[in-house]
Amino acid sequence: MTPSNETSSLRLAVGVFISAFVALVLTVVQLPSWIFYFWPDWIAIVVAYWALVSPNRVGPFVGFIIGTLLEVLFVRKFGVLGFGLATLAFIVNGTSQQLRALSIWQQMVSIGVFVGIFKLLTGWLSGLVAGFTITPEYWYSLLGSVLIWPFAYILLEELRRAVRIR
Amino acid sequence: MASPFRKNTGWSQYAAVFVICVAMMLVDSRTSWLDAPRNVLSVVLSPIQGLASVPSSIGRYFTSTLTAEPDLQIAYDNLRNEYFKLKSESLLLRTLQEENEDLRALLAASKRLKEKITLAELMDVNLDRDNHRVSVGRGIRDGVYVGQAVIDDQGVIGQVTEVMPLSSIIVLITDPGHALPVQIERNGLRTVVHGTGSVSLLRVPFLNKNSDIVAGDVLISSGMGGRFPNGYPVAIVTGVRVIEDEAFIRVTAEPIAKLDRSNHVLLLSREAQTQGEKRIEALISEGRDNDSE
Repeated sequence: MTPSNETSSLRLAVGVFISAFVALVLTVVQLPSWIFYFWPDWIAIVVAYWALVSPNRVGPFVGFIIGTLLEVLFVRKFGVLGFGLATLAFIVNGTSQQLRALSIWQQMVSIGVFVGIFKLLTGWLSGLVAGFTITPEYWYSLLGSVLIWPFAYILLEELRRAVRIR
Repeated sequence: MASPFRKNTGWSQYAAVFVICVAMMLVDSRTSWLDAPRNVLSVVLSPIQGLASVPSSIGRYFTSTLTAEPDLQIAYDNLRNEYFKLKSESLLLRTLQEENEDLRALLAASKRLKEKITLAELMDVNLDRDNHRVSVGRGIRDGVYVGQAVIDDQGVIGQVTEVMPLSSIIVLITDPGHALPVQIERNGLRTVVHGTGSVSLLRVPFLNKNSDIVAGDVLISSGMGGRFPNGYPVAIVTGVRVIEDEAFIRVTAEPIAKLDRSNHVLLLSREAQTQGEKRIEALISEGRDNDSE
C-alpha cells in the first residue's frame, strides 16, 4: 500500500467509527411512545451506507465489529447482530454497483428489502439462542428506516465529501 | 492501520465472519465465558449511554425549573395527604403483622420471609425495543443478584436477568419470553401469566372451561418457583373468551404496575437467608447449569 492509501484508509476508519458512534447514541436515546416502534434501525442504515459507498473496504468484517458493539450495548447474546450486520454489508457490497445507479426512490425500496432481510435473520437467530419471539411491532421500524434513508444518505454523503473520504 | 479497512475479499471474509458468529452464538448461549469481555466492553461503551440520556435530562431540567408555583403547591399538598394516609395505614399494619405471626405460630406454619428493599432509578436510555427490558443504575456494587424480583408502588414489574458492575438489566413481565406463577386473589386458583410483547397485554394460558375466573379478577404472585415472593399484585383479568372447539379458554390480562411510566423501581431481596437455604440454592443453580449443558 502507498502512504496516501494508508491515510485515506485511516480517514475512512475514523468516519465509520464516528458515524457508528452517533448511530449507537441515536439507537439508545429515550423516545416518546408514539415514535417508539417506528424509530429507524440507525446502525443498519450506517452500515448499509458505508458498504454502499466503499464496497471494497467496508464489508462483512466491519459489520461484524459494529454488530458486536451493539450486542454489548443491548446486553444481547453475542453473534446474532454481528452476523446480521455482516450479512447486510455483504448483500450491499454485492449490489453496490447497481444500487448507485438507482434513483433515490428505488434505492429506498432496495434498502427496505435488505434491512428487512437483516431483521428477519436476526429475529430468527435470537429466537434460536435467546427465545425471542417476533411480534408485529418488530417490523414497524422498517418503515422508519426506509423513510429516513434519503435524509441519512444525503447527510452522510455531504459529510463524507466535506472531510474528503474516498 | 485496522485490517478491516483493507481490501475486502467478499465471500471468504463473509465465510470467516459466519464461522466466528456461529461459534460465538454457541459459546454464549451455553457457557458464561464471554461475560468477562462483555463487562469490560460495557464500561468502555458507557459514554454512549451518558450521551443518550442528555435530551431527557434537559427536558427534565426545563420541566422542573418552569413549573409554576401554584402547581408545585398542589403537588406538595397531594403528597402530604398521601403521606399521612400511608402513615396511618402502616400503624394498622403493624398490629396486623403481629396478629398474623401469632396465627402462623398457632398453625405451626413457617415464618414469612422478610424482604429487603433497594430503591433503584431507571436509566434514561431506551435499552432494547425488541425485548421488553430496562436497565437500572444498580449493579454488583449494590448487591443486586440475578433472579431478584422487581416491583413498583403498584405491582410486579419483572425480574433481574443480567448484573453488570454499575447497572443491571430487568426483564419486564410483558416480555414475550417471560412467564410468572400467579394465583387468583379471590379463590386461590394457581396459574401462570405469559408476556406477549405488548405493554398492556398478558395472556393466561392453559385454563379449562370450568375454571373459576372472570374479568376483573386480580392476579397476585403465588411464590411458586421461589423467585417471586407471594402476595404482590401482578395483573387484572380483562377478558375471558370461551371458544367451543378449543380445549382451553382464552384469558387476557393487563399488568397493574406502570411498566412504561415508572421512573423508580424497588428491588426485593430475601434478607433472612440461612446458610442452609443458600446451600440449597447453590445446588439448584448447579443442577440447572448441568441440565443446560
